[in-house]
Amino acid sequence: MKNQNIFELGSLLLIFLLFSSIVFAQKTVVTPKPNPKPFPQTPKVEPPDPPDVVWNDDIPFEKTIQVDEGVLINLCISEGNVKINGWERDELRVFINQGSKAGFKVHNKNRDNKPSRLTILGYDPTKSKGKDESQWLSGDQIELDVPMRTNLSSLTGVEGDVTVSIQSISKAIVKINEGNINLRDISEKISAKTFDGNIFVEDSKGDIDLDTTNGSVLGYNLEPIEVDDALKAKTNNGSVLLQSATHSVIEVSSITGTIKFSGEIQTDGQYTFRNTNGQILLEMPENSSCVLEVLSEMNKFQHNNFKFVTYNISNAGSTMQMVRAQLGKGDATISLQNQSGKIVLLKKK
Amino acid sequence: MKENCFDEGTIQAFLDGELSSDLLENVARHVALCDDCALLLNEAEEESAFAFDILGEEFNTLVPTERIRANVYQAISEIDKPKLTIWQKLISLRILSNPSIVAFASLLIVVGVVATVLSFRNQPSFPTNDDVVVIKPKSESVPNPVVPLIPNPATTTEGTPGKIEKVVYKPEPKVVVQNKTQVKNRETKIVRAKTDEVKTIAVEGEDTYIKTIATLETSVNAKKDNVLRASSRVSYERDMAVVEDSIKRMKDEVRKNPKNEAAKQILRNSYQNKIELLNSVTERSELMARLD
Repeated sequence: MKNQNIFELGSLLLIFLLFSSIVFAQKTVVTPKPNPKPFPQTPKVEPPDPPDVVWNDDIPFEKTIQVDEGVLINLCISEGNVKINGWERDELRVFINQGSKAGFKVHNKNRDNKPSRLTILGYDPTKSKGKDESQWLSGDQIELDVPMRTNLSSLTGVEGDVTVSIQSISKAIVKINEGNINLRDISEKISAKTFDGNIFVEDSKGDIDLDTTNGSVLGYNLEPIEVDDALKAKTNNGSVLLQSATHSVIEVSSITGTIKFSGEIQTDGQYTFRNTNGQILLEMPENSSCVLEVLSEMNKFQHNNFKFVTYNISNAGSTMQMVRAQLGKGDATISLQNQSGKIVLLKKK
Repeated sequence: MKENCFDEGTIQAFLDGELSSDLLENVARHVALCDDCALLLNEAEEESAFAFDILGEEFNTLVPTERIRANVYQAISEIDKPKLTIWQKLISLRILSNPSIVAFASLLIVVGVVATVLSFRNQPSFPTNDDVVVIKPKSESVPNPVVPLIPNPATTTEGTPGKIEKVVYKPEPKVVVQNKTQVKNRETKIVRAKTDEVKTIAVEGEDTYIKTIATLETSVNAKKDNVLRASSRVSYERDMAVVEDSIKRMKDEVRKNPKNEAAKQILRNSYQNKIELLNSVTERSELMARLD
């Protein structure tokens, strides 16, 4: 009898366990946290004395490295004002005031074992693996002195108001979220884009691409190096002002801003100015040689008594008109297109 | 009848058990010795038996009262009695005392548990019946949300999409799992959209523009509140309104005169402006996401 009772209890326990497992299987499996093992008692160690020099953001950071004269540089800025200046040394110097540290991650070296391609980081990769540190540079003032033939292949600003000023280097490719971009004396190539800010470029050469979503573009004294070097400027609601730009291919577009071009018309030039709701002002010498194609709203095209060789006007729908006119021999091609704004042709003195 | 004989009432009381113990003993001793009283007692017993036979039905009416009382007592006893659990009842039934029944029940439970676990493991997060198909979006049917497929007007011919001028970002095509009903609805929508587009198509490649814009708009509308500040948002909405007005006006122009090349040109540029406007939000979002 006693054995039978034990058997009954055992059976009940088995069934209970099985039912429990069914219920458990239907619920979300939550891995139980292992009970923390008690730490073995270690002998008390007195904390080390603090170092003599404690890093403080208020202390400026400075670092230099010998590099190839045509070094290719990448860097990312989270916030701050950036100044990049070309100098006549094969040396890269980083100075950061009230901000992050900096370090160099070298990707390639030249024959002299100098870095020819590197990334500037917000920490020193030789001292830290950077797991918990940001690769982004930040600071109230970030200054880079670089060789004059430096190729700034990527400067990216992702947060906050970043002002970028670059001077006297070979190539500059800049893309920032917010802030102004100032470029001067860039000798080969420019690609500048900001989503909220102005772009100012002067005394620069080569292929130039300037793009801002909310802001203006100002270009002064720009010239090509190669025949096919183009100057492109685009904004949505700001103004585009180009003066003394001698590129043969110039494309400018806006939606609601003003476009103004003032300069010589190249004999082999191809100029395209497009707007939707703003104005287009074209100031050029009276003796320019070009063919004009002006598509505008009715009676919205005006010119300052240019002496056209030919001048044809035709309707292009119920509200639009097309003017085809030739000045001189008609070497260059100028296309002006504005849906509802004015197009004005002015004589350059 | 003798002087010490008992009267009829006392005899009846003797039968009814209503006499005291002393008198009951005297009556019993006397009846045993007195023939008259014994006869009287016999007559009284017969009368009582007769009376009980007649009043039997009336006596039976008392039975329900006793049953009710019995039920009440039972109910009270059940209230006072502690409740038994299922296991106690099972034990009381002595079912588990049979080893073969226990073994069979255990086997059933084990099979049930294994089947439940297997069914949970095999069950995918999406429906797996025959109604499910896997769709890999084709580049021409579902435009990439962040790649503006901008046809080059100069090279675009009717019915063929223009070449890709600019590729900003090229993620791997995502595999989308939908059931057949969704696919059918989608196909229906596409067919309807195509029908509408055929009716209102203004320029070559317009369907590509429309699809790209629709894809970008879905993406941009979800994120523009987070990406654009108030001032930028105002500018964006204003520019978008200008561009959309331009598209509408030029569409009307082309509808009036399908040979109006100037209007077509502006229409293409307006579509491109809209794509670039939408794309600026996407690019900005990607740029900001790099910090995370």
